Amino acid sequence: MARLNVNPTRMEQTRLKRRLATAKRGHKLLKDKRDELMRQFLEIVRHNLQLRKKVEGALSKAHRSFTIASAVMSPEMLEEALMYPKQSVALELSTKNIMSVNVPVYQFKMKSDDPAEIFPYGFATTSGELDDAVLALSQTLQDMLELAQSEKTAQMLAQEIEKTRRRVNALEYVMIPQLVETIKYIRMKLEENERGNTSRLMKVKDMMLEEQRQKNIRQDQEAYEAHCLNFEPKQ
Amino acid sequence: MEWILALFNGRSLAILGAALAMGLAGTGSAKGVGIAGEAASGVLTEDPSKFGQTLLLQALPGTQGIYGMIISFLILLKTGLIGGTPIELTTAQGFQFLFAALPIGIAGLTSGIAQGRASAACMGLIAKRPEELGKAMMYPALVETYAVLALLISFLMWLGIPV
Amino acid sequence: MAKHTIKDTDYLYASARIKSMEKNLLSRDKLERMSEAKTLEDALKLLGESGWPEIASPTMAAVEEVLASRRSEAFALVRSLAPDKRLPDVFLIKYDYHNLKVLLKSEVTGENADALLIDAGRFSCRQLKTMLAEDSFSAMNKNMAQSIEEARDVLARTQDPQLLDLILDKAMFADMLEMADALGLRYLRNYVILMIDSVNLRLTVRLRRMGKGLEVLRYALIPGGDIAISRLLGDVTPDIIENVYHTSPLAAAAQAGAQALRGEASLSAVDLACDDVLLNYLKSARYIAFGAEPLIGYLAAVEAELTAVRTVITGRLAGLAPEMITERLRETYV
Repeated sequence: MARLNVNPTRMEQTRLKRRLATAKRGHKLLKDKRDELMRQFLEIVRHNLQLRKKVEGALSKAHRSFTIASAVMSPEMLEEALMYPKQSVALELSTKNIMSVNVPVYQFKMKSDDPAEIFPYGFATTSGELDDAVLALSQTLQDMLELAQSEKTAQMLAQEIEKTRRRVNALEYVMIPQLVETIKYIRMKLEENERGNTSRLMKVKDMMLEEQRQKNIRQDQEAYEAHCLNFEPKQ
Repeated sequence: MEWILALFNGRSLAILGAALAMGLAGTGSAKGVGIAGEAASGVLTEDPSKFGQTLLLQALPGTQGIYGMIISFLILLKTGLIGGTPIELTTAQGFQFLFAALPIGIAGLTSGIAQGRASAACMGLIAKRPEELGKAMMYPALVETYAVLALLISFLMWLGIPV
Repeated sequence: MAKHTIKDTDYLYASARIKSMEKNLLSRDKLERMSEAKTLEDALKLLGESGWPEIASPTMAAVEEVLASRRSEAFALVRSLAPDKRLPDVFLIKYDYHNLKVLLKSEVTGENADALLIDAGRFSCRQLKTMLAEDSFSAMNKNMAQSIEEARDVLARTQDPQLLDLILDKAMFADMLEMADALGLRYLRNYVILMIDSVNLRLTVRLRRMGKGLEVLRYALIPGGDIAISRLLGDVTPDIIENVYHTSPLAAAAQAGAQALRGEASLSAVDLACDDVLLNYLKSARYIAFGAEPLIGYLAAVEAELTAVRTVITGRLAGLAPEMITERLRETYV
């Protein structure tokens, strides 16, 4: 495991220890956030699935009606019938906060409240199936918007979950081990320094003792020699 | 007044009869063949292989003209206008020849046109089902019956006129 | 010089020629085989066997192109054959009104919708465009000119494209009736009347289903049919619809309409029943040896055939089951 490239000093160690504590707390928080996000996400996805099935069913029904209508009408006449829409929809976009993710909320309003106002064409040259297709589509609009909203929400939550998971993983598998490793390294380095110091001191002490002893011996020798000189017979 | 006498002269009346027999029946045939011909060319434009069948149908209304010609010829023969010396005819005899010519003349005219229309209609049938030519021919051919009957009566009348 | 009246014998060549062309029309049997063919290519090959031009690629656009050329060919042929050159116009009026709708709507939306124009009407698209741009309606008949002015006015006031369509539809049928009268053809006139009745039946059913009020219905119903409009106004229940149409040839279609109102049948069943009634009426032309009728019948048959081919091809492209396609096929002329 890699360790950080830091000076193995006590100050650094203290700093790293503080960082480790923060990282651990952050890790726990992020893990909680991830779990909560997951829960919300699954809920939305389940809702989404139901909605999608409903919308897809309605759309395929509309599509079938449309196919039949387009079979009995020439494409130009079909497009002409729909070229100038009668009903219009105003869409309002606001946001909602889920676990600090801003998800969109769509709200739409029809120009006219009459449900029969959706047919913008005459009847002589259009097929009845077209009515069914247009009706099916307009009824699906609400669900489609909700689906778009929940899909977008799910997508944003998924991104957020991914990001959080990466952070959790980074903390769990990189940051924290790295810090632990580095702290351990610093501790060992410091201890080693300590030991080196002790042994050096002991060596110095030995050397000093030896020096002292030599000095003593030399002094003794000198004293002895002087004594002997004093006691040599005078000529 | 002389021209009136000339007009009601027996021979003039017989010639008028011959002329009507041929003229009316011929007109009928001509119209009929024309009608059938127009339709035939319509069919042929789309399918040239039907030439034989359409020609057969077109020829059907042509018979009235032939019948008319027969009667007309017979009248001319009996009055000696061809192949002999012309016989002096009383006014009554002249009228008799004229009336004998009428059946084939009138029936030839109408049946010719009618047969032409029937033939033209059969062209449409032939255009769609060429294999039904045999049946298709029956319809215009039935019209022929009345032309033949008219011919018969004209012929019997002609036979009966004493000269 | 006395005016030459057109007799049925003036149609001898034309009707014989048309009759021999009728056998090239696709039969129901052939259409069913097309819808059951293994691949779309096989289906198109079947078309080729019936004398259709080759379709370059199995796409709707290529098919539409061939359909349009078949249609214009048939109309050009009938026009060249008919003693009265206006004969095919009754069938072309709807393209004029279609183009008018496109142009009037694009006037409001400001979009260029030239791609939606069908250059098959009595007036060319360019003519119509300049007439609208210059407000000169002298070349048009009164119905058309009036309807344009009314439609513009209503559109400016209400912004409702549906009203525009309704106005132009009404004018279209008035035009058709006028044209049939001008041609002096009873067969054609009865056809237009039957068409009006069927449109009225369909729109009554459809408007009822949409839950629209009497006012729109009164506005939408097209005058000139055999069934008096007043009989369809009021509280029309399914039973009343059946009753009103009881004596009309559209009785079966009215039954389908009543069922659609009760929610027992689909609207396409009503459309189908109406189209079948119209085609069956047209089919009576097959028993007329010569005259204008076979020509008119042929034009209607060609249009019906194009619809049938479109039904099969779109159905196949959409991957519908053969039964689904054949179920929606209309009667065929031959």
